[in-house]
Amino acid sequence: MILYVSCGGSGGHEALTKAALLADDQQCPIGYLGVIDDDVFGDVGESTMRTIVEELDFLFRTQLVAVLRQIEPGLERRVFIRHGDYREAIVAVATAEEATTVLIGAPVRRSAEITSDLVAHLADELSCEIIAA
Amino acid sequence: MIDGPLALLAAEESSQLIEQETAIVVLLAIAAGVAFLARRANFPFTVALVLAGFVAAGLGELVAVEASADLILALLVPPLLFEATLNLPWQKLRADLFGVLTLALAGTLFGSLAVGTVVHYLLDLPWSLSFAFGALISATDPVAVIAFFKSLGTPKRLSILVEGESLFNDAVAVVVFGVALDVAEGEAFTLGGALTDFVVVSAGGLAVGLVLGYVVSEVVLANVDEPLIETSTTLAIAFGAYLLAEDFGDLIGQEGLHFSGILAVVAAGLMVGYRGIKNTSPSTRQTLNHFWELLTFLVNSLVFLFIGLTIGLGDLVAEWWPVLLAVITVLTVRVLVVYGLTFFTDLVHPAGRIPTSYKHVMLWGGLRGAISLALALIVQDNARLTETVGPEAVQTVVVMTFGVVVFTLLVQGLSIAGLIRRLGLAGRTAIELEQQSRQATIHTRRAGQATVARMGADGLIGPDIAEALATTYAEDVRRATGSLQAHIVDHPDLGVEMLLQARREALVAEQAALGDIVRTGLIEHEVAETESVILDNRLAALELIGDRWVGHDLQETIEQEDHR
Repeated sequence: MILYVSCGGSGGHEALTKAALLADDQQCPIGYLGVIDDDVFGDVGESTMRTIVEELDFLFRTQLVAVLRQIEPGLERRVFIRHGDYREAIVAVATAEEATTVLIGAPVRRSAEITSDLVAHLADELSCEIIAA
Repeated sequence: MIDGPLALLAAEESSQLIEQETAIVVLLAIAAGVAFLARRANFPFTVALVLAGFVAAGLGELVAVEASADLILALLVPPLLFEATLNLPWQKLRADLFGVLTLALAGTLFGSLAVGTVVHYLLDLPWSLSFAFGALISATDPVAVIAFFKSLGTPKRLSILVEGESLFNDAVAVVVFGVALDVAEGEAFTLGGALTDFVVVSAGGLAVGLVLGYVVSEVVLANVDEPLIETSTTLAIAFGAYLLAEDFGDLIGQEGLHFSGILAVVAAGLMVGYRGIKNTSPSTRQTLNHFWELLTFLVNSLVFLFIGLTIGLGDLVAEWWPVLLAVITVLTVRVLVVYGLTFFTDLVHPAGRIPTSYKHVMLWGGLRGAISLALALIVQDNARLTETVGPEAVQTVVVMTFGVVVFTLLVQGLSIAGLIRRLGLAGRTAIELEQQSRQATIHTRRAGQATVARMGADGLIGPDIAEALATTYAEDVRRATGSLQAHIVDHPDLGVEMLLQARREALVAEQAALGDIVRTGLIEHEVAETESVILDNRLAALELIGDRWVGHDLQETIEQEDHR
């Protein structure tokens, strides 16, 4: 699986397309992992959070369909939404899904330093390829 | 037929009525002209109205409408507050309610005391009158600022914070002002009595507004599907909530008991906006939007023209020292209120932290307008107060209020857009505006296409013309669609925003469809209620996603600026 990771942001189209192209090349499923940052959504109540997860799921599925439509509509696609520490979430999903590549789309934090820290951490924890878009 | 003195009286009243009507017509004509010119010159409309008011004051009898406190508070303010709350998304307000209420309640109380203390010592005004001034000048008016927010596309959260604070601090300021004025008129002051008054007046106003709002939402809007009747009802509740709260004591035979009319209107607007609107059909919503847009345009025009007409620039120049002192004091206290209280709210509620750039805008966007003017007119027209504290003290308070209102509207009002841009909060880019423009073209052409097709099918136009029009429209729609697609290809990141926009529209359509099948009796009201809540939650979740997930980039940029 090619695992595309997003922690929020308005961009990501280019990175998601790149993930789809990789999945098409390797003829493997593409996964869209959205990690909800507790610092940003921590004050939201439980039932609202459930609805947010459902809506994010709907939006991510639509984004995947939109991107794959131009590449390979038949490719298997999955959406994962997790809370809390993004490092743990990425490692957990990538391990469980046996991802071959993790593509960090919208940066977890804009700072290049933090993104490179994340890449280094994931490289230590995972045996797959890590790409920071 | 009426003869003698009665006929003279009737003729005099009729003549006064014609004079007032003429003045209103002239003012509305001025407002229309100013709106046109301001738009052409890209100049803030509300500021232009104030300037036009200064000039129009020279027209004398032609614009001789007395801007009394009653006229402003009972006639002009309720529709403005109601419209603002009607369109204030409760879900978003709720997310920032702690910050908003802290600023409105603690900010207004602290502001009243701080400003009052300074003017008492520096201008030797009586304590109670000084606090009355502190209270009346604490009421912020967001109209001019919100207009900038809309045109510049600032984050919705900033708009909610500014508008929410203003709506509630108006109410708090009026209540504190009432207490201070009673004391200034000679009534004995006790802290317990003042607090009790504050709680009774506020809670009573809220209760009146919530009950009326609930009744209108659940009885009228839920069961009647007549856009004109439903719209009229919202107009009635806007004024009715104010009057019922203010005259509550008279209605139940308890003379002297009154509640906050402003809080009643705010509560009624929030209730109707939250519960009532979702019970209406799309056509009612459209009628409501158009009606309230027109009404607020008219009322705002009159309010800002009145500000220009009422404030004598000569008085401000003649009494420049108290005016300058008031402006400096009000700005300094605003600095303490905004930065001090938001520091506290950030500490207590870190998840709802307000970015520093927002705080700068909240500080500089704290304009003063109609409420301050109206309360100053109450001071001016209060004979008992004048007798108690002396005409000079009253005049000083009035001139200081006018000075602060003029300064904030002209200086802050004209510079706030620059500040917003400088802070990087003007979120709507030229690319997004271009996207909207292309979407608008598709939407309008399709509407025309549908109408032409219907007219052709109904036999209202000849088949040749119908076919020719259909072909031309189809070409236009195809071209417009291609143009939008090209724009999206050039700017792929627009896709996320458009996805959210489309999902929002789809959920609204789902809500409307739900309303339709309830009205036709296909499903029970209880089922519709449950489904409606689910859709409502989805819309609220989508708003949060838009603000916090998609808007994460902006938020992060702002936070990084903070850390630097």
